[in-house]
Amino acid sequence: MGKKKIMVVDDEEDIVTLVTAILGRQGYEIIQAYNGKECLEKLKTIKPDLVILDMMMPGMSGREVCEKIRADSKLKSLKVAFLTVARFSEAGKDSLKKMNVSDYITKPFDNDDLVTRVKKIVG
Amino acid sequence: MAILLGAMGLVSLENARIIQYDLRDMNEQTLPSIDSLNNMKVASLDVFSHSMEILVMGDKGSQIHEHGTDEVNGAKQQFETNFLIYNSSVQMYFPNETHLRDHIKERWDVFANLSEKVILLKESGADAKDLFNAQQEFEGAKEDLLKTIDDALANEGEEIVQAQKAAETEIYDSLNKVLAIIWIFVIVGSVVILVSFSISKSVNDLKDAAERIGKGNLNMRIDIKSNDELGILAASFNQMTASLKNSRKDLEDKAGELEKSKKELEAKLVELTNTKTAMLNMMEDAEELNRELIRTQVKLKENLKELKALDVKKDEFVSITSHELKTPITAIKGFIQLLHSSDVIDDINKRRQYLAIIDKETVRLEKLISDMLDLSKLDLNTVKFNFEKVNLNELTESLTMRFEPKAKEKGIAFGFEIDKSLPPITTDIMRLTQILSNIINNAINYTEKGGVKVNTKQEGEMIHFSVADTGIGIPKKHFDKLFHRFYQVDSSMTRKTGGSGLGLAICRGFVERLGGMIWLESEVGRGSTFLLTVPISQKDKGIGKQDKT
Repeated sequence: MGKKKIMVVDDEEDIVTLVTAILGRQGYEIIQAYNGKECLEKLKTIKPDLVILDMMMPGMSGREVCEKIRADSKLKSLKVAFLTVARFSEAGKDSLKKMNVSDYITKPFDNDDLVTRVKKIVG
Repeated sequence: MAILLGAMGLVSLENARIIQYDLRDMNEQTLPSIDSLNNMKVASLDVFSHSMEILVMGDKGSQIHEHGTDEVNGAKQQFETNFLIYNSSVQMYFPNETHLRDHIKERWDVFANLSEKVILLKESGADAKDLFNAQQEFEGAKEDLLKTIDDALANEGEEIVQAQKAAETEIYDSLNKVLAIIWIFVIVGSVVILVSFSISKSVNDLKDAAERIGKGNLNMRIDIKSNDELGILAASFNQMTASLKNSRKDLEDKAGELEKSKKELEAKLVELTNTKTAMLNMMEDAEELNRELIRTQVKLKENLKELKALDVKKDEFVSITSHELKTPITAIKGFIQLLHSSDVIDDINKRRQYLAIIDKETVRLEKLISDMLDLSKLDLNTVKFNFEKVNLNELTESLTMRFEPKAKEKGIAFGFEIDKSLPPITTDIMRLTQILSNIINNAINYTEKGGVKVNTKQEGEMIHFSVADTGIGIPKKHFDKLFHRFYQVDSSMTRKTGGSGLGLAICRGFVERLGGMIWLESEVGRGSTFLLTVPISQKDKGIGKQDKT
């Protein structure tokens, strides 16, 4: 069995580098994207085990990217986690549940916590 | 002859009675008509008030909307039912009112349609102005309808009074006829007595009786009990007086009754008129209140809209700010944690890379915090300015020293064009330097080839600075927004240039406080020029005086 693939999408270059460094050390293969458009483009050829999406991105927000993923019959069952600076209200959590989001990670995060959460989702 | 006259008297009496019955019938038949008119009025007002309720507060799906629609439909049905009653009354008793009936029907149709229109408009979520116009139109239709109904009411009232007067006159005519007949009897009786040759007591008695009857004493009886013609005459005389007495009493009773019913009717009419006036007054009050309510509501809605917009803006600012602050903190925190792990400690390249990122993000955080402090000072109007007389040459030298190396490193040109004869100006040199640095820094960041040129010249009481670059240029639609907080034409550039998105908002704030203006000219593909002005002197502020409020 090959390496598990994780796609990281954030408009902040340093955050993408950080998540790549943290998860790369754990033996995951990381695919990087800097906006929603690039993410969807890459998803046409690569099928990762998890997509970590930043919520607040210019152009297309993380939520919009997730909606597009869920609307695509080939990507429908893709696992998605959000990176966010906001804490969600109950209503916000409900709407995430409806989009079938596996988890949401609040920035700033602990590296170990990120690893634990990712492992829980993709094993 | 006596029999003939008696018959005539009876006919007159009967006539009076028939007229009285007719009048009573008419009252009975017209009252429903008036009732139905009044009911129509009430139904119209119901339709109006419930439609208005929906218009004002019954958004589609709300309880008020549903309840109101039911009420409106109920009131409409009520109106139609009463209109049918009214219509049949008009056909039977008020043929001269057909045109009013037709008017009522026409205006009702218009009014009912407008009620529907108003509700539909509300359902479609039309704006306050459209709603207000529709409401005005609707109100107009209501006024027309009510006025027509009032006309009909007035018309019927008039007819009843007329009919009554006519009946009264006729009854009095009949009464007079009967009295005339009585007089004829009296005269005939007197003549009979006078021509009678019999000077007997009977005749005298008869004469006395006739005289008394002539004086109006119908209780008179003649006591003659002979079998001759005189006896017969006396008997028939007695009979006649008895009958006369009854007839008169009857007539008097009937006249009294008639008078009473007329008074009742008049009282009823007065009552109706009073009720009508009271209702009209109440309606006017209610309408004024309603209009006031709508005005207040429109105003409130506008205020709410503004507040909501402000709130959204504030939320947006807080959310962007926390995102902007948390990003560098996340990177710094994460990379420091990575630096603690043994495999990274041993890898000098990774160490260098991570430390460089931490350094960069720390600078970014510092800049962001200082920008936000500047902005909040501008917002709270607590910026302290230090005005002093300065020579522009010093300013240009310090800026050249600062930016020439950066431009050189990027491989682009950088230069100042300055008119040496410019007078010294009174300004806050620290803030002016901050503004120009910010703009020059942006220009260099966004220029890949060519260069950045700064020009300074005097125009009247102002010094004009222009910072021209040969960069990618900015589309016109962004010109104004560019000076808004966190606005970026292309945020992918931010990552490369490390801007906070606040620089130009701060520049504009400071330039305006210094008494100048800032704007830009640009053409996509050819470059941008930022222009700003500052006054040469601060007359109203005074030299060296601190500007603080």
